[in-house]
Parts: sequence; structure tokens; C-alpha cells
Amino acid sequence: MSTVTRIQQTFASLKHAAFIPFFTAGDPDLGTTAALVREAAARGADLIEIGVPFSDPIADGPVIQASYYRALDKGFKVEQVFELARALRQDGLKTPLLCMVSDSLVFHRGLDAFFGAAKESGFDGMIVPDLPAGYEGDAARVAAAKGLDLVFLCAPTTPPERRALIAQRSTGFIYYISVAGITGTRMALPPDLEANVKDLRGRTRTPVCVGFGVSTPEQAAAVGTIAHGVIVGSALVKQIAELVKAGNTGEKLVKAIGAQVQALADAAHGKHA
Amino acid sequence: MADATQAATAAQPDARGFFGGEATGFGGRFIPETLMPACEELEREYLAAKKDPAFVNELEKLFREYVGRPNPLTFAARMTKDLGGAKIYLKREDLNHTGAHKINNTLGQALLTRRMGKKRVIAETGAGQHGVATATAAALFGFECCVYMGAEDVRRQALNVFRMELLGSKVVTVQSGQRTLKDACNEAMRDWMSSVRDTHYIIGSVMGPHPFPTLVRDFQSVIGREVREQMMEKEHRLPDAIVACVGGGSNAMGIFYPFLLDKDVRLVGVEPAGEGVDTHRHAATLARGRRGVLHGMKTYVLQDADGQTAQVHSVSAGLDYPGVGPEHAYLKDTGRAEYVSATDTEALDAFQYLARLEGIIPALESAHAIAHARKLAKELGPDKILVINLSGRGDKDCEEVRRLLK
Ligand SMILES: Cc1ncc(COP(=O)(O)O)c(C=O)c1O
Repeated sequence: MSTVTRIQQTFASLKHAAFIPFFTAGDPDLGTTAALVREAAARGADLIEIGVPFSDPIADGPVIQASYYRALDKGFKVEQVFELARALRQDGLKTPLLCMVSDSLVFHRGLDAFFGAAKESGFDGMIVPDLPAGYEGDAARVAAAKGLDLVFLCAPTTPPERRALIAQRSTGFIYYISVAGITGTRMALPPDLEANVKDLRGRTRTPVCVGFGVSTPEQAAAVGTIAHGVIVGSALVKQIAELVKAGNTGEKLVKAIGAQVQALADAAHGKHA
Repeated sequence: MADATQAATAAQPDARGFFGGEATGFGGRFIPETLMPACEELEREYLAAKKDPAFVNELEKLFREYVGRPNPLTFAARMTKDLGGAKIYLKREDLNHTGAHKINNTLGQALLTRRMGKKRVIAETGAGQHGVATATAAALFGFECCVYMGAEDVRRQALNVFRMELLGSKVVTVQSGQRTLKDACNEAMRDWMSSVRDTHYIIGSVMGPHPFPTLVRDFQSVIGREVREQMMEKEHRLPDAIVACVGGGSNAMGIFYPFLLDKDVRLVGVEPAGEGVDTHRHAATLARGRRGVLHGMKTYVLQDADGQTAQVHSVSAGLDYPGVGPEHAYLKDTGRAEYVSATDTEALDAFQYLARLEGIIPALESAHAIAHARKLAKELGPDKILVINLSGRGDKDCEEVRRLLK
């Protein structure tokens, strides 16, 4: 693909590590998700991931699975993730958006139809966590044809031959999974993180971002010094669930999460509190 | 392991695990990157083990001296007479140690676990038979073992929960989703994501990412190989039809596989129709599903219009699953096997029928095969031979059936 995507432009222009929060579409409701995305963008998020609720998410941890079930229980429909992106773009949101979705849902709608709808509605990239490099079939070709980036994941368990494959296939950035586990909040960062990120960076000019298990500003700051981007999902999703449970919804919820995003973004950007 | 005098090797999946090719076929490996190396390692180990006489001999010895194989092919005289149709034989997987075919697979995978130097195993279970068979293999090999089971199945199959605990396994009750087999699979996958370096996931059926569908089939195909031999001994010919129930599809693949190239042998899989395939309460994946991706494989899946996995139902916890092994999807599409279904009521009837006529209480899963065989035997007529895979015994179901019949 010769054109430079919005995701690629973003990384090219950043002078510091990117901060990338994750939100589940429709948790606690779609209006709030839209407000959370706008707030995150205003508070320093450089790119934003939006997760599409699925009934059997094998790549996600219990926190994100629970958020998917909450959204599905409220009647979430896949089409609504496209409506969400469309509404955000109509509002003038410029931040790159990534759609994180299980291959089950992509396959159901059809690769071309799903990626087409994602692009048309305003997404810039796709993350399909159960579509590993080597099994992507036509996904890379279709994504490229639509002008979407297709982000592949790389794990601590990934051997060198596969790292090379991932480095070659992934566009936009490479999503390095910081722990050999499911998404969730962990106390400390694993000791092999730095060496593995360095190894990947040595293989490609594509940026390397780190996620899964990053939860605190301290961790975000540490990751920000070794990677091109810091991804935080479960910590935010968990906080959203707790705020809702305590009766804090709407504006109150959005401001509280906004503050958490800002603290994480500042840390990732290398600004000291 | 295959005897050269038996069926030639039938079609294998391609190198990437697709039955019928990547573009239009079934199978593959649709899993998180974290698990890719483990599946690749498993594939390498399995290919090496298959060719290693020490591995093959050890498994055969376990089958003989621990499982009690070969188990009999029993002529069902009163059932045959009662139905007045084909001659009926029962393949007695119910007589295996632990009471079902599941042990054939767990011992094979336990040997692979040891080969890979792993010390912990995990499993999902529905009826609890695969959980018990895994817990048994873990006890035999000295592995730590953790079994995931949906809360609804923990209730329905309480006896098996106790058996697993007695065998030294931890049983984790899964409260998410529908609280049945598919949710137990999700949870086991999630465990494997964080434990993959020292843990092997013993998948219980011909499902999941490549190479599981192939290796589980191969371990289970001892069933079909024995049937071939026993049939030649008793009748000097192959049967006309073979009937097996299909949940994930392992007992069916195990008995079908050695007959795939014998085009005159009808292969009939029986899915759970629950309250009827035209209601929303069934788990007849091949009858009503569409192509989809679930638990790492491309196969037929029961989904709603939006692509979310559908709620499924069967009276039998071991068949209560919205997907099916990819090789069955392939056999259905190519027409080599036929797939039918039996309702909860028919299965409950067949459960009691076999008990009264043959003195054998079948597992509720196997009762689905018996239910269909009652129809098929009449349809085939007297000079034909029908083999039913009696995949397990019904002790585990007695409590639940007593409750349902009250
Ligand atoms: C006795 C018995 N038969 C059949 C099954 C269904 O599994 P499969 O279709 O893999 O043989 C089970 C599963 O628990 C079982 O316990």
C-alpha cells in the first residue's frame, strides 16, 4: 500500500510513546462509549481501540469478557460499532480508531463486508486477535485494498521465525503482548519484556506497542521508555464497571475515566507527575 | 498404529489443518498468538510420536492393560428381534475403564504431555466423562490436573464431579455465559493462555485448533479398527451402517475413520435435537448451523443472525455444544457421512429401552445413537448389519434421568 494511513502518520509525527486506551463498545451503553472515546482523545490518547462484544472471546481476560457480556445483555448488535465510529467521525474526531474484533464475527459477516463497513464508518485499523499471522488468509490483502491497517499480535512465547513473520505482515503497529496470558491487570511488568520488544524493533520499522497487563501510570511510564506505544484495556474497563456499580454514570463516569486516561497518557508520554 | 491389512489411510487434513482445503474447507488454527507455539510444538511431537514404536507400543499396552481393550462387539439379540430389521451389534466403549470412549484420547494425550516435558494438564468437560478420563490419566502419570466444567453441568453430573476430585483433580465451576460445555472451553483456553509453558490442554473431542481434531481422531480410531476386525471375525464382512452420536464428534470420528474408504458402509452421525430442530432449544449443529469460527476452528456453528454463538440445549450434557469437529463438517459437505438427529424424548426412551432389552444402561449421549438406530434397523431390513457405537455407560445419568422421569 503506497498511501500513508492515519495510524502511520500518527506514529511518524509523535515525539514520544503513544498512549492507546481500549473501550468496549456498548459498555455501559453506546452513548457513554462515544463520550469516553471523545474524552480520551481530549485527554491525551493518541490512538483508540474499540472492542466488539462477542459471546466467546478466547483471547480476552475475564474483565473484558464480562464487559462483552454486559453489552450483549443490553442488546448490543455488531452494526452498532460502525454507527459508533460514524458518529464519532461526524463529530470531528481525528484520532485513529482501531476495531478489535474476533474472527468469528468477521467471518460471519464476510471479510470484505466487515472490513468495508469498518473503513467506511471511520476505523483506521483492525486487530483480530484470533487470526494469527500465517492464518490470515485474504485478510491482509482485503485490509490493504480498503486502506486499513491490520495489526498482528506477538507474544512472549512467539519463537524467532514467527516474530519475523509477524514483523513482516503487521501494518500500522505490532501489538506485543506483555504477558503470556489473557488481558488483565498485572502487578509487575515481566522481566523479559524489554529484551523481546528490542528484538522486535530490530526486525522492522513498524512501531511496536505493548499491551495486556499494563494498568498503572508507573507501568505505562516504564513501557513508554522501551516501546512506541502503551495500550491499556482491562484497567479502564474494570474501573468503568466499578463506577457503574457504585451508581456513577454519564458525565461523572466520563470525567473519572478521563482523569485516569490523562494520568496514564502523561506517564506514557514521559511527562512526570 | 494402523494395521496394513485394514483400511488404507483416508484423507488427512492439509499441512495447515484444513479438511477440504483452506479456501472452502474446515479446521485451521484460529487462536491467539500466545497459543500458536504450543499448537506447533504439539503437532511436531505428535508427528514424531506416531512414528516412534516406543510411543505406539506404550499406548497399545495402556489400551490393553489399563483400559481393557479390545472391548467386545456385542450382538444385541433381543433388540434385533424386537425391531425385526437389521442385525444390531453394540461396540462396547461403555466397558472401558472410566466408562466411556474418552479415555482412549486422554491416555494418548497424556503420553504426549510427558514427551513434551509438561507437568500439568487442563481439560474442559460437559458430561464429566472427559474430565474423569483426564483426571484418571493425570493420576496415572502424576500430573497436576484442573478441569473446567459449566455450573449447569456440575449440577447435572454431580457424580462425575466427585469422581474427578477423588482422582486428585481440581474442578473449576464455570459461571459465565450459558454455564455449559462451550463456556468451559472458553475458560480452559483462558487458563492455557497463561499456563501454556508448563501445561498441556487435553481437548476432549475432535475439535479446536489444528492438530487437535486429527490427533484426537487418530487416538479414537482404535474403536473403528477393532470393529473392523471383530466384524470380519463374526460376520466375515463389513457392516452396512454405523451409527454414533455427535457432540464434538470424537466417538463418531473414531468409529467412522477406519471405514471412510469403504463406500458401501453408511456412516450416520446423530446430533441432539433437544426439543426439536425447529425450536430454539437444540444443539444440532450440522443440521441447523452455518459456517463459522469457534474455539480455534472453522466449522459449522449455531449462531444468531448477528454472529454471536447461539444458546443451545440438549438433555445430554456431553452433546450440549454449538460447534462440531471440522472433519464432520467436511464429511457432511462431501456427503460421505449422513447426519440426523434425535430429540431429548427419543433419547430418554432409548435410554430405558436398551436397559430393558439388553441389560445395558447407556450414557444419555449414546442413547441418541440408539434412538436413531431403532429407526434405521427397520429401514435397512433383516439381511443387513448395523453397528451402534455405545460410547459410554449411563451410571452418571441415572440421577438426572430419575429427576426427568418423575
Ligand atoms: C459417553 C459419551 N458419548 C459421547 C460424548 C460426546 O462427545 P463426542 O461427540 O466427542 O464423542 C460424550 C461427551 O461427554 C460422552 O460422555
